[in-house]
Amino acid sequence: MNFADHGFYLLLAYGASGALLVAEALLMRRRCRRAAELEPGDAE
Amino acid sequence: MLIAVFMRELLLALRRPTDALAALLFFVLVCSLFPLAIGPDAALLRAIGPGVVWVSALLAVLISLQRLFEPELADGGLEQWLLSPQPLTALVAAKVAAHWCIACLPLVLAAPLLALQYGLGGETVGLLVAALLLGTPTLVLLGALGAALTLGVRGHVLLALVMLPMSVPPLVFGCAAVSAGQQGLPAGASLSLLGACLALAAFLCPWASAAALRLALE
Amino acid sequence: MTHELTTGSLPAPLRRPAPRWRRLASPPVFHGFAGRLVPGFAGLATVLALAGLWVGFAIAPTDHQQGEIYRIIFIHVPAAWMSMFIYLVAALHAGLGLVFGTRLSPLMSRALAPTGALFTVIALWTGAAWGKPTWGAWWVWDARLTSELILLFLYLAYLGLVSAFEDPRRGDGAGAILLLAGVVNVPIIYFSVRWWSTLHQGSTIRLDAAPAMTHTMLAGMLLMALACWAYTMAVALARVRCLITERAALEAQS
Repeated sequence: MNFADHGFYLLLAYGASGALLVAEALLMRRRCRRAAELEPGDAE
Repeated sequence: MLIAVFMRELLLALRRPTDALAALLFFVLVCSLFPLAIGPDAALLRAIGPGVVWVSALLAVLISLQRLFEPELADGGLEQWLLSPQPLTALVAAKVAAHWCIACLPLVLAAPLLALQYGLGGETVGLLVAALLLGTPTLVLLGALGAALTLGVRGHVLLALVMLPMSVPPLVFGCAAVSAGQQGLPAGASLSLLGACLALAAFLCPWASAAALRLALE
Repeated sequence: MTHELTTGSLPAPLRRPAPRWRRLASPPVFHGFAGRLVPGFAGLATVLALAGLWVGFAIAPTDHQQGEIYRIIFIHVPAAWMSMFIYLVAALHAGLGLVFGTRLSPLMSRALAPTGALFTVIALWTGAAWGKPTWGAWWVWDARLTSELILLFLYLAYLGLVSAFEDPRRGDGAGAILLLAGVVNVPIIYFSVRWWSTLHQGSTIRLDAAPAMTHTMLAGMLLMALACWAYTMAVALARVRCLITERAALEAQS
């Protein structure tokens, strides 16, 4: 049970997952901003 | 009219056998490529034989389905189908049945010869043929759904992407049946599951394909 | 009853106001509604994730068999759960869209699918990161991982199909049919992969066999699962807002 070893894999797993989720969220923000420019008058 | 559709398909295939023969040739070629790539070790070939034959059959079916509905799309036959008193589901079923006879029956008949290439024994060959007989109609039904969904789309990848994941169950059950026979275990369960897949596909796929075709023509 | 769904096509004096919740089926109305929800879900997701990770790493005990590496479970299992749940919900919307003809439904399916695919990728990636130190291999043909891989292909097929047509409504319909066909297939595929797995390897290699769940481990997993759900809600609602706007612009052009 080498903790340093496991630490690497945990980082690999969580790091990549976190990066992917954050990337998706950021891309969504950018897309929403561009869509808002398409139609400035939102139907509320 | 259903019989007419069926017979027309057969006649067209007899007059221009290139498509059907292409599928058969592809099947034989791919099966022959694996030993070249892997090596002639008899035991290894016997182990991978069922799998290779099945995957090759699946790919051959995929290739033959690329242009399943294209003739009808090109000459306006699809609109005729929509207007005809026969339900579109039944017409699709007739077309699929004809396509199986044209494209898959040769594969099933060729399978014993390919089984020889892989050193599969007598009873195993029988199981292989039975499994293919039960499995290839399912593959054609699934592929018809894929072809209907992707009608008019250029390129071949989308049809493969749509059809192949759904083809995993018949693939698994079909190979399981043959492998069971190889190991002397009963293959009945796998063959029954294969039959169940066929029943479900025969029930749902023509109907879904008809819906997809209607969508394509709107 | 059906005319209330097409209220927009009647001139103003003849329109009967639809009940409040059913008005949400109209894309412009939903656009505003979703906009108010997104920040709430985003905040909820962050809080739940922090709580889940805290429980998972600081509170849950070390597993005596697997050591620390089992803590991957707190992202692997929720991601796998979400990947399957999202597929079901997307298929549900597909069915509703085909049956009721609501304009919003196919947009919801389109909005959910990318996030579902992402969770599938995360489940596979974290599965590999778990497998390497535990079993010595980056990829094992475990029944669940294999099913997850096929689920990824199903998502990719849907995403490819809906973007393949110039007419977005054909994409909507074809995608809906594909989702419904897939949802019928998913249990069959899973069963066939389990069949295949037991035939070929017995149950020696199963990634999630090891830790006996303590209460804290379970709590951590549930918190992370809820966090993933809240995240999905935030991202999917944001995406559907974009889709509504983009689709309206497209229809205004044609």
